[in-house]
Amino acid sequence: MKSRFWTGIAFCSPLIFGLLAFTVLPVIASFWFSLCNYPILEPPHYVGVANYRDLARDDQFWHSIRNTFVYVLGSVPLGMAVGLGLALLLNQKVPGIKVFRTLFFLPTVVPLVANSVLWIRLLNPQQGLVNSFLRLLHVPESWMPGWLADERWAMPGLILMSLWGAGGGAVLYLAALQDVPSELFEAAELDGAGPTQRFRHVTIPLISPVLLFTGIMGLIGGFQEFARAFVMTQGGPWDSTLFYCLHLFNSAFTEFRLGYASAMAWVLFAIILVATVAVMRASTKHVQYEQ
Amino acid sequence: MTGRHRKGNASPFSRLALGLILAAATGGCLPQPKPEPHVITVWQPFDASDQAALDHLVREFERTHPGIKVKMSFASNDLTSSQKLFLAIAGGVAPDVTFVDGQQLSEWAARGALADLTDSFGRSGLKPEDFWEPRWKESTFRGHVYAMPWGADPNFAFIWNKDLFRNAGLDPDHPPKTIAELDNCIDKLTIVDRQGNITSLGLNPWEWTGANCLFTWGYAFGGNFYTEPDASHPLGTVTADNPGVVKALDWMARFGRKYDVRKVTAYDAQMVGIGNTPFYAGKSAMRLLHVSQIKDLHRYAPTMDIGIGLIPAPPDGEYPNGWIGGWSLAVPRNRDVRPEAFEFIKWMCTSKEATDIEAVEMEQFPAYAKSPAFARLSKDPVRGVFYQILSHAKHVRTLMPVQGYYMERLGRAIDEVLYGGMLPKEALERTTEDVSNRLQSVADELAQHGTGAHS
Repeated sequence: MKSRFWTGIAFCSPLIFGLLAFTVLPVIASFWFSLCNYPILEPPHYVGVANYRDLARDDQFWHSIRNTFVYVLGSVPLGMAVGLGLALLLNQKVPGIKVFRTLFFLPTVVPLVANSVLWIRLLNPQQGLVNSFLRLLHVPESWMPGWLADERWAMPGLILMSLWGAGGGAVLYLAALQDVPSELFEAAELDGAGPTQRFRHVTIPLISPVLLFTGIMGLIGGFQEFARAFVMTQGGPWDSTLFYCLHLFNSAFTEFRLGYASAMAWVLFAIILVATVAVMRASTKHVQYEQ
Repeated sequence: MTGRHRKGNASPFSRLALGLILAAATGGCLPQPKPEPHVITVWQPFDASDQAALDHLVREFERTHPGIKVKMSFASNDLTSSQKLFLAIAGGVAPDVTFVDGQQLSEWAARGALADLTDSFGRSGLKPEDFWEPRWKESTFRGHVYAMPWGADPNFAFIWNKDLFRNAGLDPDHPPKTIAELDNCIDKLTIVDRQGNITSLGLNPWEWTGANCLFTWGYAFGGNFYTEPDASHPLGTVTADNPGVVKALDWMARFGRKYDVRKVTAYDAQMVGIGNTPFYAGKSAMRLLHVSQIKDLHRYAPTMDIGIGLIPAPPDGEYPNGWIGGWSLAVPRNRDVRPEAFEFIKWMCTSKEATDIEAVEMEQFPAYAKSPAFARLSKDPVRGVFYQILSHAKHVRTLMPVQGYYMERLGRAIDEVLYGGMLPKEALERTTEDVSNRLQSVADELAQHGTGAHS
C-alpha cells in the first residue's frame, strides 16, 4: 500500500513540482515583493506597507479601479445574457444546427490580437461596420458613437467587443440546457405555464449552477482584463480604458516599480476574493443543485 | 614454442611505448582539432522586415571574424520597456550584447542594467567626435560610456502631396515654413462633410502619438524638455512647462478644438497597417516622415508626386529643427564585457561593411558620422533632407533616469488638454511637478543604495 502511495506521488511529481515552482512560490514571493521597494534590476529592499500607502494616494490607481469595475459590471451580465440567448437559439432542432454551433464558437478560438485588429476596424466611427449598421437604423450622425477615438465611448466599445466571445459561454449553457429533463417542461406546460414562465421557473433554476460558474469566471476574467486594452488603446483616450492590470504592467515594466505592482496584484486578489465570496453568498438562495 | 609465443606477443608496456612513439612521430601529420569559436549572443528589437539585413550583418561579421560566432535573436522593446531583457538581467542570463534605444540609456544605466564600457571604449581608438553629437550624448550617463551609438534617426522630415496642393490652389513647390503658413495649408487641405466627418485631412499633428509629437512640435516651437545636470541638480531638471512647449501644446489644442480631436483620431484610425495610412491613400496632404519609412514611400506610393522638406516652425521657434533618436549597442549587466562582444559592437557601429548594410538594406542612418555611407546619403534628394536635419539637430528626447515615466506623463498631459480641455500651461506644470518628484525619488534611491550607475 505504502509503495503504491509513493508510486502515485512519483507520477504526480511533475505537476506538484510545477505547482510549487510556478504558482505557490511566485505567489509567496509577490507578497514579499509587495512589502519591498523592488526596481527589478536591484535586489528588493523592505519598506513595510509603504507600497500600499502609496496606492491609496495614486489617482491612476483609483481611476483604473473605476474603469475595471465599469468594464466588469458591463461585460459580465451582458456576456451572460447574450451567451444564454445564443444557447437558447442553438438548442433548437433545426437543420444544420451543428454548423451554427461551430460558427458561434469560432470567435472564441481566434487569437486575441487578430480579434483586436478586426475590432479596431469594426469600431471605426467613419468606416466601421458597427456605425454603418447604426446609420442603416437612421441614427443621427451627431449621436454616432466615436468608439475607440472618443473617451466617452471607448469603454462601451470594449464591452461590446467582449460579447464577441459569448459563444464560449453559450456552449456551457447549451450543455446545461440539454441536461434539463423534458418531463419537467411537459409537466409545467400541463399546469398551464407559458414559454416565459417555463423559462423563468424551470430553465433558469436548473441551469443556475452553470450561470453561477460562468458569472464567477467572468468576474475573475473581467478584473484581469489586460490584453485588449494593451493592443487596441494602450489605456487611452485620456486613460478611459486604463484597466487595473494595464496600470499594474506599466508600474512594473515602464516605471521599474515591481514592489508597487506586486502590491497592486495583492489588492486585486483581495477585490476578486471579496467579489467572488459576495456572489457565492448572494447566490445560495437562487442556485439549485441537483439532489 | 613458448619462446616464439613470447616474441610474437609484446607486453602491454611495450605496446604503450610503441603507441606513444608512433603518436609522437605522426602527430604533426594528423588533423588538429579546430579551436572552438567564441559564441556571442545578441538580442535585437527589429521586426521581420529587417531579418534579411540582420542575417547579412551576422554573416559579414562572421566572415571577417573567423573565430567568433554570433547568435542573434529577437527581444521586444517598445521604447519604454523590455521585459525579456530586464528579467534576463535579474536572472543572470542576459545576452552578451543588446540593442538599447537612446532614450532608455540614462534610465537603464542608472538602474544598473548596463555594463560600463568606458574602459573598452577608451582602448578602442574611437573618439566621441566620431559619432553624431546627440547620439553620443544618449550613450553616456554621468560621464561614463554605457553604449555605442549605432543608428541616428533624424526626426522628422516634412512631406506633402503635391497633387493635393495643386487641387487646393496651393503652390506645390512652396511648402509652409512657418506655423501660420502651415495653419493656412491645413485649412485649405482639410475637407469636412455635412455630417462633420473629415474626408480629407491637411495634417494630423499627433500622428506620432503621445510624447513623440510633443517632442517634435515642442522643439520646433523653440521649447526644451530638460536641462543638463549641474552641481545642484545632479540628474538634470524637468522643464516640460517651458514656454516653447506650452506654445506647441496650445497650437495642438487649437487644432483639436477646430477639427474635433475625436474626428481627427477616428479619421486616422480608419486605416490599419503600415502601408494603409491616409497619406499613402491620397487622403492626407502632409505628414511627418521617419527615416525608416522612406522605403514605404516607394512601396506604397510609388507614383505619388511628393515634396520633402523641413518641419515648419514659428518665427521665434527653431528652423531647421528636429531631434535625434536611434538605437545603440550595449552590454547588459551580469556579463563581463567580453572582448569578442565589444569587437562586435565596434564593428556594427563603425565598420564600412556594417554601416553600408545599415544604410542600404535597413534604410537607417548610421550614428557613426565618419561612415562612407553619408557621401551617398547626403546627395540623395529624399535622404539628403534627413541628412540636413541630422547635421543641424542638437536635441534628443531627454537624458533622465525617469524617461519611461516622463514619456507616459507627457502623453497624459496631451490627453488632458485635447480631451479634457485643461489649459496647456496647467497640464504641463503638473507634468513638470510629477516628473520632478519622481526624479527626486530616483535620486534618493540611487543615493541610498549606491547601486546602478556611478554616482
